[in-house]
Amino acid sequence: MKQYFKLGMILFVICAIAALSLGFVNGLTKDIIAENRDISSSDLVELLPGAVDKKEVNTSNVDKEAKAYVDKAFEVSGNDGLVGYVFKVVTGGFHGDIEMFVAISKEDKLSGIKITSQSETAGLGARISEEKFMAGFKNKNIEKGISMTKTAASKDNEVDAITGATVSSTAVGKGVNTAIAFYMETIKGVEFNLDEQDSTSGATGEASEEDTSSGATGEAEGENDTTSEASVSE
Amino acid sequence: MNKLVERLKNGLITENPTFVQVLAMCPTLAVTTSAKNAVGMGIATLVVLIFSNAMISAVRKFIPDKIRIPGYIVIIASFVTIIEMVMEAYLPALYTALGIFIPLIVVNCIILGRAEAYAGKNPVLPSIFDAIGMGLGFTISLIAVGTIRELVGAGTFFGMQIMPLAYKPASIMILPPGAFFTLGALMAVINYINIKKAKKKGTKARTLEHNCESCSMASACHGSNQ
Repeated sequence: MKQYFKLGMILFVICAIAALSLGFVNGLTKDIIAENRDISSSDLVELLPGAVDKKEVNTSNVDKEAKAYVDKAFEVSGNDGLVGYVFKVVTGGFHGDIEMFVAISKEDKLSGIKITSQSETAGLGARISEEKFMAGFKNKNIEKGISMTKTAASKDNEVDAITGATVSSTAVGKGVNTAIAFYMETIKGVEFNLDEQDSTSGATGEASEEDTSSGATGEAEGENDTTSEASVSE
Repeated sequence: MNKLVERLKNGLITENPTFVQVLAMCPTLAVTTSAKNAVGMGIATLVVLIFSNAMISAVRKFIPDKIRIPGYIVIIASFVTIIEMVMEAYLPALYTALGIFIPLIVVNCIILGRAEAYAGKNPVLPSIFDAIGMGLGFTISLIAVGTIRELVGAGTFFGMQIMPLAYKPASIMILPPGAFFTLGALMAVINYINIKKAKKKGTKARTLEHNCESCSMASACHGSNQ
């Protein structure tokens, strides 16, 4: 009996010390973690250079059951005042939800995007997280919304899609347009029609992610080759 | 000094956690989708191993034998949680890169295995070197598997394009089957080398079948020869 009491006491001591240390470290770090949870300061500066502080914007009017929606919105300011806005967008991808940040500068230009969470097909849809793909969104005009294209992006609002990953690329494009729509309508108070802009030019109706064989898509062999050089498949 | 170097060599080669002890198969298979992930997981495990081995060795005389397992688990879990909180606060980029792998370290059997097999019975300094040896051995094994999977499955190495552009990557290597293929193949090669070496010396090789000494479950296991 005494032996079990002793064992129990020792276990208690071990757990007490563990709990104290954990509580201590938690107290030290919880504020910083909460601040970083929405978007880390390094990510914020990467998306909107000169960003110092952010303030949350009300998103309670957003339909969070939609396929693509703005989960959180932040007004970002720097040393000289407003720098732009950053939106945390959730959009439905090929395998599950894709979470990303969309940054729009105060000059009404797409400042950049960052994919933060996705579970798309490795080697295909997963390439939306690559620098090369995300860089295609930098400095785009937002008035007409973004259009994902399978041939090399030529117009001001076109962005290269990933070969063999149409669904994932389109999902990202849709997410960006949702953020743009929110920006235009809720923040600027301008009417913005999303459906018109949601197109993937050059698509041949293929919806399959795994469809990498050129014969099946119906595109000419030659066109497929130039597409793989020009777009983000490397 | 020799004892410490022996601990390093033990963890790296003689009792390599992945290929000889066959421990921590789950993280090995899951994390080695790229060389970069492998390094991240390996280093994180190494850090936890060092701290937990040191701590457990330091208090080994105070923890009665009967409750050593729950004692070890509480200590290990606390360390991992503290490291996770510190990373999330002060190194957010690294934290997001490692993501789910950090809490997974708690259930990495190498940590509990070394605590039980070595740190619980030996002084602090050799325990620390044991941790370094095992941690490095684990990291190198992870990098070996991860590099092969990344090269064949994506054509890159640490993100840099290595294979010629004409090479079409075999994506299956980055998916779970590829993990099994690579790990199995590497183990076969290493066992083959060990058997050949042992034959030359006239001794029996240390392959999976014959290596129950370091396992804490040996007394309960049907297949062991202990």
